[in-house]
Amino acid sequence: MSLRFITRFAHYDAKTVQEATSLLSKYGDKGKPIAGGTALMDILKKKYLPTPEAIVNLKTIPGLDQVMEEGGALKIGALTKLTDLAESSIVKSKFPVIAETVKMISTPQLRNMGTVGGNLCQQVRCWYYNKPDFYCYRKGGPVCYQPGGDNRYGAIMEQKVCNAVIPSDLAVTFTALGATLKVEGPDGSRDVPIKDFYVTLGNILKPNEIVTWITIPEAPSKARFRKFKVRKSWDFAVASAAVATTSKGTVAALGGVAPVVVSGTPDEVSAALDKATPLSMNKYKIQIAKTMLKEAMA
Amino acid sequence: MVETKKEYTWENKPAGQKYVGVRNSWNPDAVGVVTGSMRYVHDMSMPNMLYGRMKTSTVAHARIKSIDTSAAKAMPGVAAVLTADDIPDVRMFGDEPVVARGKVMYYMEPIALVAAETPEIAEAALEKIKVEYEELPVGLDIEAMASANPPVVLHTPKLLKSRFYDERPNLINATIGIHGDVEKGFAEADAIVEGKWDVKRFTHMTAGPNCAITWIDPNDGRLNCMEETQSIFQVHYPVAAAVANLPMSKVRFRCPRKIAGAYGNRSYVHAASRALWLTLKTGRPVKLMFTRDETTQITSRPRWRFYFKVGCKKDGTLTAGKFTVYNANGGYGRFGAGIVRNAIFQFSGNWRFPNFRYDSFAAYTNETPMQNLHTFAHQEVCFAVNQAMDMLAEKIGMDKYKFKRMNLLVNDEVNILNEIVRSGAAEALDLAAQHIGWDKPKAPGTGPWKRGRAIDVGNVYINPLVEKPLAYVRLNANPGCDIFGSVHDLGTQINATVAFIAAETLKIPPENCVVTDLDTDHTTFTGSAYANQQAFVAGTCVMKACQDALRKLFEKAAPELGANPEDLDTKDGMIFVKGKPENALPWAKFMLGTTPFIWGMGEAWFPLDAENINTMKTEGKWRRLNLLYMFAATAVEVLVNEETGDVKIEKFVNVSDTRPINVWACDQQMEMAQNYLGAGLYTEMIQDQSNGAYLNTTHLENKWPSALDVPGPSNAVVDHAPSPGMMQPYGIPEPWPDVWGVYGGGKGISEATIVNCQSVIANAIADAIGVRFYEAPIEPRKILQALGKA
Repeated sequence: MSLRFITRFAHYDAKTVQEATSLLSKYGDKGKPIAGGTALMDILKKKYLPTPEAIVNLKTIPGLDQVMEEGGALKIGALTKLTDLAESSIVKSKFPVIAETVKMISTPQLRNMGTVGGNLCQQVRCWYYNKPDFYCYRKGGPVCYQPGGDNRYGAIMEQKVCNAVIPSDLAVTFTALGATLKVEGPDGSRDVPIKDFYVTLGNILKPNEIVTWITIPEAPSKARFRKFKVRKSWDFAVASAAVATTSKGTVAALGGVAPVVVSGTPDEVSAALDKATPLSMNKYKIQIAKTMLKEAMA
Repeated sequence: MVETKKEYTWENKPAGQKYVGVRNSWNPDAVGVVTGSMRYVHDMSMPNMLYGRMKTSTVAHARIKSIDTSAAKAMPGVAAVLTADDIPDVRMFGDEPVVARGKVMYYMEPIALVAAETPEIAEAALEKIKVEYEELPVGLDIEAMASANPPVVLHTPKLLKSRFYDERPNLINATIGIHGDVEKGFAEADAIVEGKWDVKRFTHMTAGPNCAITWIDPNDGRLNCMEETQSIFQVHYPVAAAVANLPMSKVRFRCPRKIAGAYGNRSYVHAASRALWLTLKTGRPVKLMFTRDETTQITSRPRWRFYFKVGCKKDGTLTAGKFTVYNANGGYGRFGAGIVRNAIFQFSGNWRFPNFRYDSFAAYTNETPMQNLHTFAHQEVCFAVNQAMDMLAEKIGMDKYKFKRMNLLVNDEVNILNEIVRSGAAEALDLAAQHIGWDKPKAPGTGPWKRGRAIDVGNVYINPLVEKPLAYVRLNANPGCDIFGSVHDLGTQINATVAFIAAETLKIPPENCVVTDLDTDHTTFTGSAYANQQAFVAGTCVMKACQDALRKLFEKAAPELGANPEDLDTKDGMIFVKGKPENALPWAKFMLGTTPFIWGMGEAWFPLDAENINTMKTEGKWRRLNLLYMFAATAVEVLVNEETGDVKIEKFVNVSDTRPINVWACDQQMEMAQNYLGAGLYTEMIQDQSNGAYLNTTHLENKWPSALDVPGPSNAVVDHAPSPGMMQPYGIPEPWPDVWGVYGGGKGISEATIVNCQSVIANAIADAIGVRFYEAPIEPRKILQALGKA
């Protein structure tokens, strides 16, 4: 049963990353950070996950909403609004693929609220996971409902124990661009390559850690992002593909096909698609993913 | 993309007609709706109000072993927790209880009601209610459930009686219609097409969820209910009184000025029927608002299966048709008995069948009880019929438009039910063909994009079940008027349309004509907002009431002007002898002091063949089951991507056979019928097959197309063929006085605009890629599967 009213919780406006992570430490897995809120509000209303006891507002931390160039690298503050990212002059001139990606995300209203960090860390949109009545594996239950249920939008590769697909579009493009995420916690910070960030059941963040900066090491000489949506005006990806060529070579990444971003050289990704393991209803996603990949490479 | 719309005008519109049949964007509610200042029930509250919530079932079919409400009742701030034991056993529409009695029949069926001081407490209380189920097998198989040996029986004893095959335990209705001899007809056919079509569940996705506020008026002790309704007198008021176990004199029902989306959802007393018991038990105002999930899980269009066999001669003449309908009606009956009967009207309205056989079955299944949704089955029936017609045309090598055109009933032709049909369908089809450029070859596609187009024609029958509607109009001196009638504005802009009708008749500005809110204390019965009736049923009454009031006003003014009343005229609140406007007297002179107002009454007459519509009798020379059929021809051009299964709508043409009263509002409905193309493209309620629960209940997941997903209003081509008016009732001497409705603008329009939206997509995709689809919607997944790419 999805419920509309939001259960009470404590709310803190963090002024610094340090304050935010120590508050999150205090509450452990009963605390959650909030930035744009477009994803968290969905959880608070649908209640498919327990309502946190405390919500720590990150928007009040100054300085994390900037987009800047540093020695050829692009640095994006995790609190940058999606709209601001797409409209940044550096992004438009040197990393147009990022602007192209952002414009495929959600709707203008939601892009005005949602942040880059939030887009990267959002929950999956599996309709079993998103309903309180289905106690699925991802929530700690015994089973993934997709293989025996309606799995038309489910994963076609790297499923393991969960058949939800990664919903973030930026994750796909950032993977192709070889981004590094700065993860900060109470004990300091670490840099995590984005391809190591996602795992089958989510990401490697501890409950008291947040992403603060995203660094793209260099502007690609060529890059494209393609996303297939059933409803063009507003939808998550059935499959998406980003391909970027930099001094280190060409990297392809796929979204919407697995719980994580699938990446490698275009040949590797293509070969992986050939070995896909679709569920009963979603073999068509292989064809769409191949088409997106082909178009992104064109 | 396509030509911009032309200024539509009625043929032979009387000179001087200023507001009716004119494109005028004025709407008394526009500013409120656009700025958000309009108050819907959802926005309202009352002092001392409690918040109601429903505990709902988490399983699709079960015996309720126990419900423990003690912990919920003990919570501070909880005012009442009610189960079936606390409420009299009154069944809405024959079988549906307010809360489940002993058994649950579908996922998310209400089981208990809670009222609390805050929404948060109410919600926390729901968690404290413990329900123990003994789960029963879930019956979802559409045909098996309608059979004599279904996998599971829902209601014992059976509360609804089917007209035929009552030995089938889940059947709530069956209809048999026989015209001619189908076997002989098929023997005469040169070509025959047969198919099985499935149409998935689909829901209204109203902007506002179902919501009601109920309270007891301390001044008179009456139970008051406020809920958005499409049918205040025919459903909400009597059903609320029955559920409350109170005489109607002890109940007052109201509806706010504007309704936050309906499309059939507001035809049923979903929220007030539950809230009122919380009020009766606590004595306090209660607001009960459904969640989005509840709104979608408790109301949706049923699933359908159709079998259609149709034959024709080489020259295209239809010889026979056999249509069989299965409706997976859900856990309770609601309007299911009527919907399987009325689906036959798609054939009686449109097609010239010398031989025809119709069988229909509605059966209980363990899913959401059916709710009528825009066209009451006809969009779904068209999905099968319009495709079968195209397939037959292909088989005999005939142009699809010509094939449909030659088999359409023309005006004043007798149909398979012995009705004499008034129809502008052929003319509408011709106009649609012109607008889409049917006579020219379609442009080629590019790369993986294949181009297809289709032209379909369908009808929606109008059977308002309203015999003698009546409106009052109260003229005031300003000059202006207040209009009293059951005018339900669902977003159809009927408030503006009715004001235009009053303004035209009284020759005053529409801004001065106020449509009063729905309230059973003062509203008269001018029909309901189902079956597209309001513009001509309420409209006719209001026109006549205005004429009556003017007659009385002229009688008062005649002596002072030294003329006979019939020689007088009025304009902008002045009365004068026709042709002599210089010697005018104001209305105000006759509406002061002892006579502050002048009242007019308008009664219309829409005689029905209620006896025959229920029995489907076909004796008699001719008769009329429906007041009228209204027709639409819809044409689209699409591009289909063979690599991704993507479908782009390139052109959208929609033509009705009506003379619109409010041209602006009518054309908006015709244009935005494009949203219903989603029913062909990808919009559906996706059901989990283990428990019938819908998995995609949000606006995001449910995927209704927005204006950005279709050509959009400014790129749609809409037009109107001449309207031949309503059908002459049996036994009433010609001409029947109300045949032309309001100013000759004979028909309602709403449902016909969307009737072809599902079939036209299927036919256009088939034209593009040469593959037929028997299941709607046709998402990219199915296209790729059909192309062997998945």
